[in-house]
Amino acid sequence: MNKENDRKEASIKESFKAINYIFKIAFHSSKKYVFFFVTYILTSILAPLVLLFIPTLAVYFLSVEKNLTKFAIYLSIAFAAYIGISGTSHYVSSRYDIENTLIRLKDFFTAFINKSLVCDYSYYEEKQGKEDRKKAEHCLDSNWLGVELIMKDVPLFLINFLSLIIYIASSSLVSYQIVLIMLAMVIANFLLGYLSTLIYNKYIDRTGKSYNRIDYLYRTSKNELKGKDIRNYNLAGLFNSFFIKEFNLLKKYTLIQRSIVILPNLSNSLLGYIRDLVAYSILITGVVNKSLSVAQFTLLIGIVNGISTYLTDLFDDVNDIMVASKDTLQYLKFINAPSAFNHNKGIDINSVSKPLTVEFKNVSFKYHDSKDNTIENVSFKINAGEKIALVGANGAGKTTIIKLLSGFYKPTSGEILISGHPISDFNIDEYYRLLSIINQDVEVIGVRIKDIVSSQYLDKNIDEEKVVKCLKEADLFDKVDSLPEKDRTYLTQNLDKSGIQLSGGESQKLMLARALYKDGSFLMLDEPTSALDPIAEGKLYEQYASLCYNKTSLFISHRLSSTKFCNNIIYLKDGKIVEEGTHEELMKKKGEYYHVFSIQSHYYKNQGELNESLL
Amino acid sequence: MKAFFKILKYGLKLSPLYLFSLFINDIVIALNPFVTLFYSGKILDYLLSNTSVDIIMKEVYIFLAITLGLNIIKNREGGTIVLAFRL
Repeated sequence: MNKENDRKEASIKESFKAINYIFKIAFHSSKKYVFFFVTYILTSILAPLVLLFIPTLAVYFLSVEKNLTKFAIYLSIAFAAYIGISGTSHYVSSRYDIENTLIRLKDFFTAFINKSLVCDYSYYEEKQGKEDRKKAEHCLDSNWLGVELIMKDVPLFLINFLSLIIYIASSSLVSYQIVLIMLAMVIANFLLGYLSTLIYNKYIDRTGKSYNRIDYLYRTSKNELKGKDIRNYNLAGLFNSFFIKEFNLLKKYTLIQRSIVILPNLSNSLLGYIRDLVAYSILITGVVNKSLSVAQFTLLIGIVNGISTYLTDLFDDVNDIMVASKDTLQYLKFINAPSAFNHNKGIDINSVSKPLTVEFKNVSFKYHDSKDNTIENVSFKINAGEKIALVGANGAGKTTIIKLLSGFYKPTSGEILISGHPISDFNIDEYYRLLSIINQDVEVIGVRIKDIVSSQYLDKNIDEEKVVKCLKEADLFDKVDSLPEKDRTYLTQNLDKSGIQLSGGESQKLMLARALYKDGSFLMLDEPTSALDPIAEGKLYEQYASLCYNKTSLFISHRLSSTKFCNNIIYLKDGKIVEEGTHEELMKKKGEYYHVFSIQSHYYKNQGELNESLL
Repeated sequence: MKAFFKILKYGLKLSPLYLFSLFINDIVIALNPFVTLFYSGKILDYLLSNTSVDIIMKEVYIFLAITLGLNIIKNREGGTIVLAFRL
């Protein structure tokens, strides 16, 4: 991940864009939010102003008026006003913070999850999409980053900015020299802040790299699948050494960063010293020359100190907002990532003739981060209701063809026609309804069994009888029926402690039940028996004809013997079709298919003899 | 309290400066109002009793120098050493 772009500030224009986007959503999300926003700003400006007048009042009454009763009354009023305003400010600020977090989760995080679930699969899977998603997620990671940091810092910026104007205007009534000094401070502060950020950013890349590596190691150490390898191969030592090395590097570069930040901070303190010195000398001279009263002196010293604090905070706010805006723009980039497919328009799937015909016309495809085509100039046709097998070694391009047919990617060149229509002409969300796919990688979601089979969560939307029927057809009903909670049983223990863990073969059967429930017109099975035992595999082959009844289907397998019952077999090698025909035709041809089939059958024969001798 | 002392002991083992770093921010923050209060009172007293500018400015120099010193310590130690320990 490129940390350089992660942490640098956005331009002023970009910052406004991010602020506008966030507050448009926030103000729209809750009416209370607008109230808290405005009240928080007003009370936070007023409270210090009231506090500023209290010592001035004290000095005035003690040195000029000398009326203790009057002083007590005024002081009580001033304190009461301060307590009221400051109390309101604290209450509103804490409510405002709560609203910020809620809006971040309710509006921004939900939008992020939704986008992750529905964005183009190509964007989801490829490097650029993964990076964008990670950066967008980072923007929502905590209360002190991206979206929420902007929601926190914009009112703070307004408080500091408006207070600064009030204070500078007040001090200019007495002494223009003080205002000039303040303005000089503004420029000096800006230049120092800018310089410090420039130097600081030089080291961001290095610390960012360490953070990423530590993050990867941390996530890997928690991964259940990798946990087996870590234990079997005693990799804990490797992890620990890596952690220590990265933490030491992180410590080194972070300390350099901090030292750099300290330098402008020290210069800032020195400038503040000079500013205070000049302010004190002007004001003290004014009092001694009788052009200022002691009470006015007290007020103005308070104002000078206030300006100094507001000024420092203002620059911190601007810097934070600009960094957070950059993060927010990354979030926006992900949320607004365009789709290559139609979503709200396209051919009506009900008007398409079924069973479907599928045709590849000179299709070539190259993954975005790959140099060469994965499939090249592939052409074949599956007639309505036909069963076709795709066979070939690893990397031949079989799964890529499934991905193209699934509407996950568009061909780099050529055309894929479904009943005569290019996939890109369909509304992709509607198109998905035509497909029933069983992928080779089975990873079940930890919801109830019937939720998975029906792909629904609310009971009212689930056809219970159909769930049972599909579980029976997939040869999983007996297992499910033996569970205390039947098909209401949760899978894995992530959402429910009584959840169960299915074996690899059972999970594959569950995926088959899901595909049957969906009843798509086009059935695609990508190595559907890879995790099944030989008996279950045999059963599936027997059922295959009935499963595919009145459907067009595509079957992918390494095991050539499993494809004999298909109408046609396409043999792929290095992304190209090298042979095509029925099993008998290809065997007669004595080409690549014959060669691989012979090796596989020889192996099975030997394995069988070995098993028999062992028995 | 037991956990607190355990952490403290661990911190001291890692870096003898830890304890100093841990409390320096609080000490500086606690000292600041006392310094301000003391010198503000003194300066106001001088102003109300018509003392000369030179004498008042002398107090101002001392007051601001102490404040500056405290700020420098806070920036340097409070930030860097605590951060080093955390890592």
